Amino acid sequence: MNKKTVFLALGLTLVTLIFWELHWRSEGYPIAPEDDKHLYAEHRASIENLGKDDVVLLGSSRVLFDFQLDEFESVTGRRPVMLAAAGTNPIAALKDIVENSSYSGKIILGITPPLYFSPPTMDQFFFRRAQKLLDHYHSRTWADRWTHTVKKPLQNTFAFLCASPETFYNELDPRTLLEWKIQLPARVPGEPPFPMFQYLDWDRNITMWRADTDPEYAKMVTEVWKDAVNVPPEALPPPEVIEEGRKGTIAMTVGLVKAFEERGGQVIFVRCPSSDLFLDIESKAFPRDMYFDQLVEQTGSFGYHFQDYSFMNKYTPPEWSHLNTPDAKQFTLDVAAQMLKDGAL
Amino acid sequence: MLFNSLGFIVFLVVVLALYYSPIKWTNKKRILLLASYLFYAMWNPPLILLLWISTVVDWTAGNKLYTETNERKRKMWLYLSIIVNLGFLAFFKYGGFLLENFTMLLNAVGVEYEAAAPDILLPMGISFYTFQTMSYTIDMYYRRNKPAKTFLDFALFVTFFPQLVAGPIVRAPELIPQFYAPKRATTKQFFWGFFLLTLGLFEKVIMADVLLSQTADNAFGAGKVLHSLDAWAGTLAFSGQIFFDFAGYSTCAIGIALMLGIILPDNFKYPYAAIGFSDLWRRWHITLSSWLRDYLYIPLGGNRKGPTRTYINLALTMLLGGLWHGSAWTFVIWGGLHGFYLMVERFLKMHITLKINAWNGIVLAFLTYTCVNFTWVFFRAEDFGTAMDILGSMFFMQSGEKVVSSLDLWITFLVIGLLFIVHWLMRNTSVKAVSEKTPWWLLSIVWAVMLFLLLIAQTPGEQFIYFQF
Repeated sequence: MNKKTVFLALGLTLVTLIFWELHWRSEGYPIAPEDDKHLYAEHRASIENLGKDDVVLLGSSRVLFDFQLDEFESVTGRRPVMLAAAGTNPIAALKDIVENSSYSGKIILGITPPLYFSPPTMDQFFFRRAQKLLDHYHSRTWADRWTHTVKKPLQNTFAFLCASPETFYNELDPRTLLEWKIQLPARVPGEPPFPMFQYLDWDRNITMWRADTDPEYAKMVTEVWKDAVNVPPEALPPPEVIEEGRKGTIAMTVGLVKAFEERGGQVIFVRCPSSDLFLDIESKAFPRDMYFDQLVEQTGSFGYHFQDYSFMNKYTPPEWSHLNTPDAKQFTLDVAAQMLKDGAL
Repeated sequence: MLFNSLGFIVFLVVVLALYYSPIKWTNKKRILLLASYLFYAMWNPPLILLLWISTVVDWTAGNKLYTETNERKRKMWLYLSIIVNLGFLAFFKYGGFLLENFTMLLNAVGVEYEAAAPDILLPMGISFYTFQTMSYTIDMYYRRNKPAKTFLDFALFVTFFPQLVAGPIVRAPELIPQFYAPKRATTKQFFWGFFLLTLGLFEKVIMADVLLSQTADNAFGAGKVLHSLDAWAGTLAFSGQIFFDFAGYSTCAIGIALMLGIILPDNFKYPYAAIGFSDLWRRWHITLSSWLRDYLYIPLGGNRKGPTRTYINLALTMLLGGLWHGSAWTFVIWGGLHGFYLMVERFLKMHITLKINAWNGIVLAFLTYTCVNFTWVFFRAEDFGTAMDILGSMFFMQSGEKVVSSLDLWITFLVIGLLFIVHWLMRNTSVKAVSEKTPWWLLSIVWAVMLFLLLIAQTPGEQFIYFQF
């Protein structure tokens, strides 16, 4: 092994890497951190030091997109900790905070009915995703923390590192590129490509990307939603099981909220806007009087449903489920102001 | 700390910078030792105590075994070392397994007993460093070795970070004397070590994690009866995944040590081109199989006590070798199958004489590899039922669902086909020898491709499979 072999190898690597980075920047990809389990754990850890007036945001992707941290802080004077996570059932995070932390401030809990009322067990995708994030927080090693720390400067420099670590949702890694570029006859049922339509910062404050300005891109996202909600009737549980699940989730929530309130905490429920196919399904399968309203009533908590307030229902989510960032900023200002006015915060 | 993490790369750069700074050799060794403890503690700090206890007990026992003349006392010191080391292994690795089987046994004889599920954390790499340090005291007992000159040299032998958690399992004479005189990699060694580190990471990250793991996970995690093609694809993918994962780790370890000027033994020599199973075990996890041969098979009598005892010794060695990998009956069956293969091979060799040439050689290698795949089913399956379902589908005894995508099928058969051919072509040579015959610019391009793919592969830093053993 001689020096020229090494230098040529390093030189070629550098050149190809520069081209790779420039290519993805020219495609418009932002420089942003990965929304991975390490970043989530960092924020989960931070709530241990918060006080009674602080706010933690829990929920699924709608809270992530619709609540903008700068705007929330400008109204309330407190920067909330964002612990909502896309594609998760947040009851796992609520349970974890109540049972495994000393936090006794305020929790804003976003309810996306199909996710929140999915069974809270590890064989269910939405709960498992949430629980895995929390498990990582509880089991992360010093090596994990160290790697997360030293990766930050790189993630602040390279756009090609912005992808998600999840295999079904990661555009820029070789595996996903193989799957997207090589189209072979389908042998097993597959999902449509899930394009990245957001990026976030180190506070996990999200900005919608592309789907808000490009209708074709938004359509790619709605194709994913269509596929996700396309459950054959025979795969659905029988009505009595659904009813039992509804009651179980409400009872579990009531128990957790009461336990949290007993140590001085407070939970505020929010139902963020949705539209088109999502709203249609959610209204039919999860009527608010049986689901959201029952949660609010039985816990005795503050509840904000988008259909009740003109400042919450005046928006049209570009891909049926999440607000674009300018709308989300205004939405946050208005909702936070209303919460303050009501004495909820 | 995982080799395939940025945290480790930064750690390595700092260690190399300190190691090559102008300080005394003893201080460099102290830095290596501290770095090794840090490397281990970054995973779980309290479990470093086990390493310290093993180190102190075996250092003391080794010295006593060397100086003590009273045979009874010498035996006591040997037993102390073995009890401490195997005791840790038994408690941390096999505690739950033993309790589970004890409970099952009681229930089987009609005694109602339910034990609380034990919550025991498996210390990373415990099987590796336990075997390594035990070999030191056993060699000392048989007077095959001299004690390390200093405690620092011995502690570094037990803890040397490149091979601490997943081998190669090094013997004292191979490593400790290298710590006596100042070591410094030559420029060529340093670059070659860097190349091996790249190659090892490429094997782990790209070949094992990116290309093959998904197929193996889909097949073995499906929880249903599989289509025959999917069962074969899952098993073949796992055969490739475990090779690239473990050989990748060993290659990284050898490369990192070489960058420090320390030479570690080879652990893999193209095992899927093995002709027969004794050949396989001279090529797969070489340092474990030679350990089992020297410290288990030969002390049991090896092949010196007649054919029946030889067969029993082979079976026992492989059964325990299986159990070394994990505390589950599936691992025991895996070891038992290998023991059975070795017995059959030994029987055939006694009765059939066959001259191996290139033509029958590749057929026999293919046959060996096929048989090895049946053993991998037990190694990978979570339970016996899953293993039997997969085998049933592989033998076309049942047909079930398709779970592997078209792309993954293509990737698996292509990668595994190439893997087998490359192993066959490399059977009697080495990466080093091939690299020396390759034009320098071509080697650069290959290296650059590996580095580039490693840098853009955004895998979440999966743990090496052998860390759990």
